[in-house]
Amino acid sequence: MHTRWNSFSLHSLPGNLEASSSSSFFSFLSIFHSISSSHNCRAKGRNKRKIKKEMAHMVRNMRVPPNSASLAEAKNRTLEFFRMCCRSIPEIMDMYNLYDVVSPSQLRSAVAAEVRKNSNVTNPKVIDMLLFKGMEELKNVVDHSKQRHHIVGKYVVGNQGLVQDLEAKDQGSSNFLKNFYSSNYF
Amino acid sequence: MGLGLLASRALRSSRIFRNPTNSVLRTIVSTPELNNADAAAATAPASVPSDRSPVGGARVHFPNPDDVIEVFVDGYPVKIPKGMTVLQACEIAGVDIPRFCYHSRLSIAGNCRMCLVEVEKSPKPVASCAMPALPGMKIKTDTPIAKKAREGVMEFLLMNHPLDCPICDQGGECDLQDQSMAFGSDRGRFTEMKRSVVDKNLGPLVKTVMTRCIQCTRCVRFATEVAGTEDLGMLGRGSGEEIGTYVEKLMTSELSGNVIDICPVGALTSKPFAFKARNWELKGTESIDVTDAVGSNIRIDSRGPEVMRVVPRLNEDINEEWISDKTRFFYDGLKRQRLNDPMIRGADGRFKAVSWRDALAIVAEVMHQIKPEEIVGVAGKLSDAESMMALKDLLNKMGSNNIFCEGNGTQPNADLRSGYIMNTSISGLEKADVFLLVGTQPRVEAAMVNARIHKTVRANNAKVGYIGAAADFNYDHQHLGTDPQTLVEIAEGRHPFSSALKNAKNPVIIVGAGVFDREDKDAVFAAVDTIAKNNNVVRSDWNGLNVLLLNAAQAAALDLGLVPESEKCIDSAKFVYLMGADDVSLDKLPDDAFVVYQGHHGDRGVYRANVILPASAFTEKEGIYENTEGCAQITLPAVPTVGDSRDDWKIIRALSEVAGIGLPYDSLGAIRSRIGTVAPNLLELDERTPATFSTALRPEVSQKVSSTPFTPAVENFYMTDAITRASKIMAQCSALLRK
Repeated sequence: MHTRWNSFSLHSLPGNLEASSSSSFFSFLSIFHSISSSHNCRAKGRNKRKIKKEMAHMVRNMRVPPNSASLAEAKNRTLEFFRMCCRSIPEIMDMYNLYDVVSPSQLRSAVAAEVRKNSNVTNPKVIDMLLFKGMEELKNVVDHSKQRHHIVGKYVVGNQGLVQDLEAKDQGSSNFLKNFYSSNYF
Repeated sequence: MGLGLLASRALRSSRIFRNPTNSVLRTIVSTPELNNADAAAATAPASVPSDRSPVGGARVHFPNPDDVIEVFVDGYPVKIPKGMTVLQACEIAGVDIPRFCYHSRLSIAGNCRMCLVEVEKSPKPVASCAMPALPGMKIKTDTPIAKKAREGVMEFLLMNHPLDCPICDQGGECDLQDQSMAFGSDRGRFTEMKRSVVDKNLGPLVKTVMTRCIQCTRCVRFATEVAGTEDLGMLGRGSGEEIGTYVEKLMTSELSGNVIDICPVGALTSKPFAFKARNWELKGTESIDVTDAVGSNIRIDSRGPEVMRVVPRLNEDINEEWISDKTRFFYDGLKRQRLNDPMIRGADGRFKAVSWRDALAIVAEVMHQIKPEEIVGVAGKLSDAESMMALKDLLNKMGSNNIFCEGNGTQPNADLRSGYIMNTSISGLEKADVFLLVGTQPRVEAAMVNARIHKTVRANNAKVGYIGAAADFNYDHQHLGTDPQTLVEIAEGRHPFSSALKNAKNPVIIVGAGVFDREDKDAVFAAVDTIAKNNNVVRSDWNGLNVLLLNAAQAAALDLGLVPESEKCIDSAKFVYLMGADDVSLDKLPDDAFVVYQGHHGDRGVYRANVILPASAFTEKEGIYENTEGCAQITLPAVPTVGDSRDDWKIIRALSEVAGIGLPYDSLGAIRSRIGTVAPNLLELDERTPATFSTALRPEVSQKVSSTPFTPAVENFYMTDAITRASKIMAQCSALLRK
């Protein structure tokens, strides 16, 4: 059984992320870039791969933190978690050989979308639980406990499956016909 | 020494002390007060129980008010008609008496002794199933004597019954199991070896484990009285008694599967169902059988997505509590040869699976390129009323009126409903005293109707005259002739059988649906009408003129007006829509015709098809079917559909939209209200709607009957449609049992 991603709360993402997602999103990216560049600066001579390994190491060794005391803390943790996801994305791209199907930025938006799904959650305990599930999923992905089709199915193709592009064709047809194409039971 | 043993010893010693005359050996009775029956009876509270309702909600009908007698059951007075047995009186009083050999539809044997009750002033307990109730009789069903008698009988029955309930297929629905729990003792005294009996081979349907048999003889009586084949009998005496066929012989009756239901133990069980499932794992769905035109009421037992077995449901007007072997055992055909994806035949002649979108788009495109009069629709044998309505509406909107249901012939007469249904009704056949069967062999065409005729022949000594090809009957009959000339002779009063018809009080004429395919069908029906007129067959209180249909879809198709515009529409068709039609002859179809096959089995229709649209079978959908007597009934989905298939009417509805001619219904309710405007009788479920006008209104025909003999309408009883042809069990039956 795989834990599902859709379990993150990001009510706790900062308001600006929810309100103007693109700008905050890029701010995350900038954070990510700054971190990796600083790494590069500090560890001159080490190749990129090693850095990634280190990062993966970080993910692998993550521990369950104690409960968040307040909503603010839960918010911070969520942000921290999202950053961790973003940092793991290059390695995931490598590991599952995803370059021909998806770009890192698309993958990041997929993660952000998963997080935003739970933006309505306000209970810190629930956010902690969702974070835990998210960590677990991230760990499974980074540990290579999953296979390529899991990633492709869930984050590249998405919930709509391979039939996403058919919406245009069915335009103008009745609900009956749309239902008919999807299943016998409606 | 265990605590239990200590306790039982203490009990025994105290009992000896209390009642020294009692035998020490009778420790078998688990309830000690039963040992001293008289004393316990004296102390039993004599309270009159409050109002009770009859077992199974039965109602008593008093044909003659003078013949009413009153008896007392456990102190409760009940009024019953004269001639009822004590057991029936108890049932009316709401007391269910345990029984093994007694069955309400079979003669009384009285040999299992399980139904013993106490009757006041009778020295011994009496077998209630065989004892007529007498006025003022005081019956006691709950006294220590009755209980002890049951316990004793139970002990005797279990003496030679194997203890193999864990591997017995009857386990969980076994009368012996249930009644030994309710009425038996908790221990037995039998320490010797149990007897064993050699199993008999009764054919591919009934599995026997004869050691389990308790000699109730229900199966013997069933074979003789209901099935009409004296296949089974009782051999030997005493402990050597066993049920068998005397010589090695298969059970040849078409109703043989019913012995599985009436066997109270696991001696006769279903061979195809053996070790497949336990009855408590199964989900029962109350549905209708579609393999013939009778519409037997069945329960489909399924586990997950699989139909595990089919058993009958009680319907006094149609199938009583029996079903034919075809109905009971064809279900494995539902798992074979199924169509699960829409398919298009490529240029290389091979089918390629495609999406529904593509399949419907191609059909719609082709449909529009063809002249309306060259479009033909054929409804199959198993079509429900909804899909036939949708198909007719679709074709009519396209501008074509060439639509018919296979089996109804090329030029069916749908004007008068009385001309194609069974006007007497199936249960009404029991009142008849003379039958004239014209070109029909009810035994293979409609086994349950044949069972009714057999019942009537047994009960009223009804005479049966038969015109048609030499056939096998399980009751006395006169073979009057093979061709319609005999019919003319009877109509003109030149035949000896016409006097029998003349003297009959309730004569019945049954014309087979095979006649629909004859060239001279109008003349044959005219001759039948003359016979009916001359012999008073149709009166205000009696309508004995019947047509026996062959397929489940026929009656509804004619009600909905599925009548083709031209007789030879297939010969000039360019586009043929086969909705589950496998038996329609496509030999004369032009080679360039485009054939769409919509159905659930890869059967005959698929060979010629260009596009396949997979549909759901009757076990997977809700659909209205009208049976041969004009009673509309509904099937209910028992299992999910196979693969990517869809319900028939939905496919047609979707196709209509893709083709740009939307049909105005989106739901079952909407399509049913459309049916209601065409044939409102199809919406009166489970109720027979009689025809309004008699066939006497038919116009005169100038056609003369030919001398071509009647041909059998059903070649092989076991394989008549796509599902039964796919069934392995039915194939075995055809190989072994077909005569």
